[in-house]
Parts: sequence; structure tokens; C-alpha cells
Amino acid sequence: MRNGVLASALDGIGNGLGYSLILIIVGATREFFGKGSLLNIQILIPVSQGGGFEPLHLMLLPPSAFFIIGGIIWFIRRKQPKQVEEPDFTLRPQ
Amino acid sequence: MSGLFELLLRSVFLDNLALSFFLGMCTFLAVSKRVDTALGVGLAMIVVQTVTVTVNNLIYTWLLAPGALAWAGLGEVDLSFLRLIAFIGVIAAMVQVLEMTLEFHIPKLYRALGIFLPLITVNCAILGGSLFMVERSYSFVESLVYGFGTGLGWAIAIVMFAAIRERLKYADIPHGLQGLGVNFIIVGIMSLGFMAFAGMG
Repeated sequence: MRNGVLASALDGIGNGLGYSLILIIVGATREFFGKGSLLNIQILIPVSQGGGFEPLHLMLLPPSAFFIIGGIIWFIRRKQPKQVEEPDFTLRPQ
Repeated sequence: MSGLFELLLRSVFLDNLALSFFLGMCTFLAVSKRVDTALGVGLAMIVVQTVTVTVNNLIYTWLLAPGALAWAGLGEVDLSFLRLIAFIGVIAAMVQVLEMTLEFHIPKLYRALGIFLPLITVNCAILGGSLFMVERSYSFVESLVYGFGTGLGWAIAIVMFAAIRERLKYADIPHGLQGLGVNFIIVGIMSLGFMAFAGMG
């Protein structure tokens, strides 16, 4: 084995933290735009209660999670171009 | 009868395990580079899902559910806390059998699936199917239909996704979105499409 107990434990903790970070970002985005609240605390007042915020119903449906994760990946890879996957085929310049 | 057909449609489209419940996502994203491997893993998924959900239903109804052991004179015993380990055992055994069968009869598909065949053992879509079966207390026939339907829905989703990905090789994608990023966007759009089946039920 190349990695000892400590290194493995740190790797596990790091993976878990990264996972929960993405989970929190995705969850917070979906709750904020879908309901106008964060952790069940109403921040934006929806139109139905006399406010000016129209809840984005799509954010409460599963597809939005994919779009948000896709966006996060795009953002991270813009910052760290080393992570960009090279395409299998390159297009011939027009 | 119409109830069963409705359940089948529902489990294939609206309650699609991959696109509505995010189950089995790792295999879904990793083995969808080519349509033929996607078809292989999809078929494996249909077989494993149909068999495991049905067998797990039998095990749960006759051994694990509260009061299930009444036929053995042990009516007050409640073994339902054992359901995770029992379900995982059934799934592991099923995948082992499937792996040996494929290795013997279709070695080409066996090699193409590689590590992802054993990974079906811990595929959350499979265990998720069995747990949903318990949660919604399906009968034997219903769980047969549900297992087949969810397996079929997952297979349809991965084959369609692989087909889109094959075409996408020739598309001009923004540099940072290349690969994983654009795959997530596509799965999102597909999921949006499957949501549209909501009006069907």
C-alpha cells in the first residue's frame, strides 16, 4: 500500500467535504430560486403572498440539479483549464 | 390490469430512476460513451432489476416483514431491520451469476462492460428499486412489473443518452464544457423531457 492510514483518512474527509460542498451549493440554489427561502427562512416574498418574487418551479424539479452541476463543472474548468477533457475528434476549421 | 399497466408506464417514464431520482448516475455517465455498451449494461440492468426486486419482494413478504414469520409459528418476530443486508446479498449473488453467464456466453460484452458489471452490485438504482418496493408495499405481481419497468426505463435512458453522446462528438462545444459538463446539461434536458410524461399517468 502506498498510502497510510492518515493519508487515507484525510483523503476520505476531503472527498466527503467536497461532496457536501457541491450538495450545499446545489441545494441552496434550488431552494432559493424555487421557493425564495434558505433553510426554510423566507427571504424573497412570492407573488402569491403579495411580494414581487415569482418562484421558478423548474428549480424544484429534478432537471435543475443537472443544469446546476453542469454549470458548476463549467465554472470550475474555466478556472482550472487543466481539468478540461480533450475532445475525441477535433473539428476542421471552417 | 389497467393498474399494472399504469404502474409500468409510471416506472418507465415519470418515475425514471436515472432521470427523476438520480439513481445509478455513476454507471449512467461512465458507460454511455458508445451505444452498444450502453445497450449491454441496459440489458444487464433490466435482468438484474427484474429478478432482484421480485426475489426481494418474496424475501421481505415471507421472512422479514413484521409478522411475516407467522407461517413458522413466530408471528411476533420482526426482522425488517435485516432488509438492507438481505437485499444487498441477493443483489450481489444475482450480479455474480450474471457475470459468470456473460463471461461464458458473450465474452465480448463482458470485456466491454469491464469494471461496471461488478459495479452493478452497488448500483444505487438496483437497491433503490428494492427499497421503493418496500416503501410503497407492492404486491408480488406489482413488484415484478415495477422491477421490469424501472430496469427498462433506466436502459432506455442510457441508450438514448449514449446515442446523443455519439452524435455530440461532431459538435462544437465550448471548451470548458467539453466532456462531463455538457453530459450533465444533456441529462438535464433529457430529464426535462421525461418530466413531460407527467400528464400521461
